[in-house]
Amino acid sequence: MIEDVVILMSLINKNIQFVSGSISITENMNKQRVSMPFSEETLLFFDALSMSILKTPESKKFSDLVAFAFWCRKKHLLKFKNSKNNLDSSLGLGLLFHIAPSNVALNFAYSLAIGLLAGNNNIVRISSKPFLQVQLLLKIMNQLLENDFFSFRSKICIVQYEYNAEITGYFSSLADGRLIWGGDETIKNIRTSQLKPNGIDVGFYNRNSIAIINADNYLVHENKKYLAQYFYNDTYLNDQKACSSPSIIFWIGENKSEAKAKFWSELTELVNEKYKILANQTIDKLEKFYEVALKYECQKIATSNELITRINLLEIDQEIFDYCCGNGFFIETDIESLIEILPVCSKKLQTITYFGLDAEAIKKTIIDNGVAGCDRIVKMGNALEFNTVWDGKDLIDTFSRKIVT
Amino acid sequence: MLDLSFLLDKDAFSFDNIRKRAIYKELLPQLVKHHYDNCLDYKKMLDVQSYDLSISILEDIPFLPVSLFKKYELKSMLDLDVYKVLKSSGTTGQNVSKIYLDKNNAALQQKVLLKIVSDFCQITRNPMLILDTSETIKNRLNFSARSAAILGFSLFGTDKCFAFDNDFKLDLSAVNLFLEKHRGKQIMLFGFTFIVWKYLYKQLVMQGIKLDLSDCILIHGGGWKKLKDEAVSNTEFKSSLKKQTSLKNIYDYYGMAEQTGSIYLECSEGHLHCSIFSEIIIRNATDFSECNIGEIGIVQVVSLLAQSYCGHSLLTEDLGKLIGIDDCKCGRKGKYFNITGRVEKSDDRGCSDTYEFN
Repeated sequence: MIEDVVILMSLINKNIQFVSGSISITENMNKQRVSMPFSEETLLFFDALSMSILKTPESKKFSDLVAFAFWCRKKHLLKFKNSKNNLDSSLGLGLLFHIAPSNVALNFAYSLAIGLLAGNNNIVRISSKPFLQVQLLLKIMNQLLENDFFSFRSKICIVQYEYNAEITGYFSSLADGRLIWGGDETIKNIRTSQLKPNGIDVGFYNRNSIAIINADNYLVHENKKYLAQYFYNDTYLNDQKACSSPSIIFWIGENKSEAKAKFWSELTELVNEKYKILANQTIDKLEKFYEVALKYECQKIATSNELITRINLLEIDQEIFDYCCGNGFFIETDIESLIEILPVCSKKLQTITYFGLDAEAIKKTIIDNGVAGCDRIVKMGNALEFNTVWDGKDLIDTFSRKIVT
Repeated sequence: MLDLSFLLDKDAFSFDNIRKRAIYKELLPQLVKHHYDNCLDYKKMLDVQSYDLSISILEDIPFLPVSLFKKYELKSMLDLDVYKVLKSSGTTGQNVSKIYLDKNNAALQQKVLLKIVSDFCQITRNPMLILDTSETIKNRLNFSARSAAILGFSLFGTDKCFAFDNDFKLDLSAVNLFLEKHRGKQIMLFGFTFIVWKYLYKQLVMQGIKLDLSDCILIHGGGWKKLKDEAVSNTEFKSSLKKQTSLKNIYDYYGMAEQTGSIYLECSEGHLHCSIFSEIIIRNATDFSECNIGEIGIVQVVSLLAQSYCGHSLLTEDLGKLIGIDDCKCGRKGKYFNITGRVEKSDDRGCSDTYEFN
């Protein structure tokens, strides 16, 4: 242990920044007790965090922060708790090391929540990108940890450091479990660092998502403005770069062209008002558009500016995901029946967002055909809503242990 | 193929905007049609957007992102006519662009380069000190933009000398000998910006040597991106060199492997100029509409020279602003502009990009 401390001290000199917690908390974390999943004190902590976020006026500027506050309300977390049995025979695994991605600002908060809700102590590495909502959330959380939830301090350390195999190796060597967000490359690189022998490693690899819209049900829906807002939240809110943001839209039903015209004109209005795009994003989209043009039989659909890019594909395959670059880049294709989505249901497919269809029918198509992909089927507007079951895994079960008698 | 011989007879900066637009209106649709007919990939890219081949307005000609040349062989000629493959000097780890030239296109680039540079200084009858190593141009199989530029420029000099040995150590005795031999004449210096800075200037400073280059003209280019880490500005570059070498005549140029030949040289007022062989359009990021004079946007470059490959209209990853048209104090006609930086390329793909691996 003394040796570990010496290693850590020398690492600190290499600029690990503790944005929450401290070096001594890290050092002692392995000696801390673990708790039962969804313990009352954990639920109270999140309820207090939720309330603090919502009563901080600045929070309103960040819709993702507000969404997190609603997500971590006790009332909402109880839904997850109530779906589980025998929690009183379970305990957290111990120490979890989280590597959060840099493209979705508040992903780290959900990852930390999983760790705490499963009953663990946590070290979270977050990106050094200066997200304002991250700074605000940390400020609010640290205040709670200094005051009413002082005892929780020993459970949470949040760090920032430039990539460094030694530091990652050190934190990993302490961990009973590791959550690697950030895609295939990151997973490959982080996995060169060993966990403890009992360590459980979960890598959230590169995924893509699709949407299915029933044109006729869309056309008769009375509040298309809301639907546009839902779709906007699913996509543009994170520059369409979250794994769960749909990049391919399947249109089903009779009046497809009428529905598309209406759908995109509603979205255009919203995007023009709210979305800002940068030069690198438009250049990236232009490049990907030409790449799609060279590989697929397709047609570009004219839009009023570069905020929305639409390409209509006549035939689709799973490789199309490699060309989806986010920032408002949409591949569209017409289908007559649900089985036509199967070509994209590879391991890469995570979420199916739908409107005007029956979730059970979509699920049945996936199950009956035994395809490798699709772990979530959610209503339009809920693409980014985090669930304790993610990428097909129950993360609470994964990061806790069961005691049998 | 476009016949540009009538342009080759003209001075490189002699057309005002109205005249130039009239000529481009005539030539550009022909050039687009040429590539459309001779490059299947180019045809596909236009067909997908239902492009109307009769479009003749400069700003409405489609533009390809330069990065496409890293992934596709966009050539408008038969394979057996490939004479040379130019490669961009991409940063480490990245793919390089490949530009396919036939004999005519390579010769045309050479002629235009000479015409443009000649407008700034006597280039053909002067001795030339090349600020690079002779090694750079030896490997013709792996022809980089740097070797192309050096070779292009060095053809013009009467006598030439390479300033560095193969390890980029300044060959001071050779340089001094060369300077001594041509004392009293105007000597041309040519090199890449980062090499001039890192290997010439820095070595001189470190060794405490002051060279007398007061009679010389330096033409340098190849971008500022490699000097970004050192945060050297154009002004600082010039004043530092002047201090160490008494070099007064320093011309930066803007150009790229994808459009070799039709380069943009910096005039005495500090502005880059479009010659009659090429044009720039500054575009807004949001809708690719044209920026107003003085507004910073993405630089699109249009060149009449790109004939054996589809590089006639490209969207670069550089940011710039138009300073004016036809009225630069230096007297040159046409558009003049400045390069202000580079578009920050992010590689956020999917949920990747947690770590920036070196």
